[in-house]
Amino acid sequence: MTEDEFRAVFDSLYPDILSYAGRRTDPSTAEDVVSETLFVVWRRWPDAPETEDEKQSLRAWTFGVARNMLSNAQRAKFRASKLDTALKAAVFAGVPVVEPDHGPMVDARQAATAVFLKLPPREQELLQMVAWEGLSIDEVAEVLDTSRTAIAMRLVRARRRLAALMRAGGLATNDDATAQQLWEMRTAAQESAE
Amino acid sequence: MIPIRRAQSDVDRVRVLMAQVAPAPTGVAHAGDAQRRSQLLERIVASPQSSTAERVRPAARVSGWRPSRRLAMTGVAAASVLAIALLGVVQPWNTSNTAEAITPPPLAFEFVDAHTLAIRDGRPAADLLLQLSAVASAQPTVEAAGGVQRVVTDSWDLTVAQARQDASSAVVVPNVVETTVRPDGSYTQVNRRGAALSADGRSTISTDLALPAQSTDTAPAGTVDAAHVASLSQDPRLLRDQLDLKGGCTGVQGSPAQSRCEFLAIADLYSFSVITPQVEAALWAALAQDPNLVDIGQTRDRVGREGVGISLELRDSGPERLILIIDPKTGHLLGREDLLLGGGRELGITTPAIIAFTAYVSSGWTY
Repeated sequence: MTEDEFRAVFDSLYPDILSYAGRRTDPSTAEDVVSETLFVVWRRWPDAPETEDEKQSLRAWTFGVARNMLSNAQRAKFRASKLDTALKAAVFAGVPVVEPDHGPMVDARQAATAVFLKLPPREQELLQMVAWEGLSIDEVAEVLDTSRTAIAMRLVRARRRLAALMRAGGLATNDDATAQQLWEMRTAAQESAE
Repeated sequence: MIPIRRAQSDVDRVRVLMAQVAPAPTGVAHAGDAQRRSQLLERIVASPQSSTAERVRPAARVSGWRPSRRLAMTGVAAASVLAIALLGVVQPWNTSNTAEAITPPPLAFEFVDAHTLAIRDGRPAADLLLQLSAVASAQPTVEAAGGVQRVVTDSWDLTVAQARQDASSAVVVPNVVETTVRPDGSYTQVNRRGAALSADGRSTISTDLALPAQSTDTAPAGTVDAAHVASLSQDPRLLRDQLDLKGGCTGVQGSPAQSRCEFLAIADLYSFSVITPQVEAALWAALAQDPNLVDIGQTRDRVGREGVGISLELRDSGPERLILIIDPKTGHLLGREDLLLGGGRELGITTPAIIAFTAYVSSGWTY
């Protein structure tokens, strides 16, 4: 792998990792997370993947590094501060969380998240990786360093639990969306981003 | 195995549900500041890469390229650097302003002293943990008189010390934290400056907590689950499941990550709660099933109490070695030590180095 190839990877991964961190912590910390993550990728560039299969897992591995970075940053940040016990336990167990006072979460919180926040932090994280970061099951398995089967099963459990919580909370659960609905959602999301 | 088609369908269903209940936050910068981004790239490519010795391709795995263990350690060690950089004190690429960090001396244990703590393991911990479980279960139950839990800790971590601009003449001073959790889930945390550590890394604190508070945090009713410990099972297997759930652990028993996660979950439990002897007995019995733990022998903790050390095996520790210190006479957790094994150069410290410790000084019920 050449320096030029690293530059191309940098351009590709930078926005993804920044978004990942930015959705969970303040902008300054998010920038530090992306910076340190890409430093690690560069330091290990001589070992970088060369086959197509390996290149695909580079993205997932980079998310894994970013997850560690964010987790450690949050652990330091919240070590002496007050935080919901479940969140604090998650942070100290190495599970990054969406920080409670994080500005960008406000919109999402207004949307309905009281129900979502009833899930255990690790299920929240799993669902967020799939829905927010757009990671595939294989990629999530790489990030969390576990098997694809385990992730697929955990995803089913988390989805069912979320649907049950929504029903209990009087919320409709439209979890049988058609391809058309999905297409419309993605189009709307793209337009919103632009 | 779940068929791929079904799994893909689950991914789509998750995305639909999440769009309804927790859509991706808006307003997150996707590109970042272009100039800073460009400067970062140039800084990165100007920095050294891993040494030739590290250029060993990881063993092939079916799932594709994976970093070696050393790479994973590099990542987490770099994360430790990040934790400090967040305070604006240490910037790895700008070492001219790097403050010298002072860290407490590591404690000496029966099987590993301060010099060998980073290179030598103890012996399997299962027997000791079962003994500690038996000791704990023989302790009298303390009535929850008053219903208010009060926990006092004496703790220190590197971020606290690094906040000083000039640490060349600094001493390690722990924080004494008094946490009071009321039955309604509200709590108060009073932070006081503790006593400076002596040369052997130990401190004594004022037991009457007469020192003025440096800060006080309060949280309203419902913030914490005051009845959490009462809800914990005394069956080691069930208790482990509860810990995993609360601590966000993967639940993959036997993995080093799981051991580390459970260690941290237990330490967190003691920071807020009065732990009954029955739960303690179950905790140590649960850990006795963990093959990744070693007994590193007797010691005296940060406040001079006799204890025994339980640690993750070195090969599983990653960049940090976590140690729990337990009272052999009561089975009560006395303290926790975090030892950084490598990657300290960028922090301005020589490793191995203690980067955090907590002594659980007292816990009990009050009105």
